[in-house]
Amino acid sequence: MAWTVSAQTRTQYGVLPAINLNKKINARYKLNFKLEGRQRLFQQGESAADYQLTDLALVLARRMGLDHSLAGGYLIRFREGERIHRLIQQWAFEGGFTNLGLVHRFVLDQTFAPSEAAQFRLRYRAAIQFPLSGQSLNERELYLKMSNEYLGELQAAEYDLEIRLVLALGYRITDNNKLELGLDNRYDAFLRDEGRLRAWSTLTWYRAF
Amino acid sequence: MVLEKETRFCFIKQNYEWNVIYLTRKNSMKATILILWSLLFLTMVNTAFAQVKYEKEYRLDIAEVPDSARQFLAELAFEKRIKWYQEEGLEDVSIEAKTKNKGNRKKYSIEFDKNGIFEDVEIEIGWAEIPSAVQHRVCSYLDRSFDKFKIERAQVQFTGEHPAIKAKVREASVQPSPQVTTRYELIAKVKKEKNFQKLELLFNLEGELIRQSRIVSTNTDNLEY
Repeated sequence: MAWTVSAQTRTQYGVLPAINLNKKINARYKLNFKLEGRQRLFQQGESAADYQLTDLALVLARRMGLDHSLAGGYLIRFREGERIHRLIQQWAFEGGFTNLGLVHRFVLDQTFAPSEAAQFRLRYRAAIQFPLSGQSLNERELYLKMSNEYLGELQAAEYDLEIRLVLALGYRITDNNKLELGLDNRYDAFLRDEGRLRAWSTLTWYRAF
Repeated sequence: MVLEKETRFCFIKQNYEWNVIYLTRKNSMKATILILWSLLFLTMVNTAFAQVKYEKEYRLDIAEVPDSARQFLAELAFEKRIKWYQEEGLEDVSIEAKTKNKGNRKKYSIEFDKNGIFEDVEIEIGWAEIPSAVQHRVCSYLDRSFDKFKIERAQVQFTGEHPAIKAKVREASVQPSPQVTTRYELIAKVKKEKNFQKLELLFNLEGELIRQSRIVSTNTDNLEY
């Protein structure tokens, strides 16, 4: 694992398959649908295979300018017989490099679960991708995607910070059809105690219509 | 005749620096004629707007590069590593050498046709390195033609006789000179009538638009979600 963590750090490993569908409605509006599952395989070095949750999310984005968009959406999470609801507000903008894709994303979300206090988060993520051959990404070419996200969380008057680092190898089948295989590392709870490190192998299919 | 002046500002952000160009419009008979000419010009531009630039680009091994192109580069004596690419457009294939010039630390692209015949040298520059008269006309054109625009990248393009081009590269200059033909290629994001597009625009030293093509933009859904 790339992170240096203390011996007390709780660790988990699992898989995170996802389907991400995008529909362009017109020049301004776009709809995103995401289906994601989470299967835990190990915890603290012991086998702990259990299916944890399924997320279904629908986000409507409106392009606001030359390189930024506002979006709002809803996510429903099915976890251990519970239904958890999340409202999402997002501001994303492209920036920086002409040949490389770089997108900054700010998200506010509010999560409501029957058995827990409401959770409020402010998130920032920078995601970038590099073609592995040449300077621009063509069809049937591999690319490397990296993202780093910081999530400030407020729940029941307690504050927490989660840091995510994702490294994925992508294959662009066509511009509207991409497949990514990666490792999503999430480190949280380190402000109050030893911290928790969760690593997920991700397999995501991005399809646009 | 009373001339009423309306001053507008044209903001250009490039390489994290803001540049402001002041545009003055005169409401006069002369201006009306100019507007009519502009409308005619815009009609022509709309036709140009339809042109699409689509390039596939691949790395080339030096052994695959035509001898004449290799020889040309050898004479330029770049000290930094040279990377070769083949670019396939909708209608043509070209070969491009990309490197950095140690003299001015700028990125150079030297373009050849598929047989290795030299076509042009392009050097990445900042907006401020474009002569102010050209800046003003470019900005004025973009302001007239689009609701919003943002320049993402600027390059100076030199064409001409080989000895003059080689001398230009060796002196590491990006300023125009009588021995070579100088043009400016810009990549800009524009908005017009609720449509967003990415364009490649080529201007001459007088600031006149020579070519405009729409760049097929890539999907960034996988970076947003």
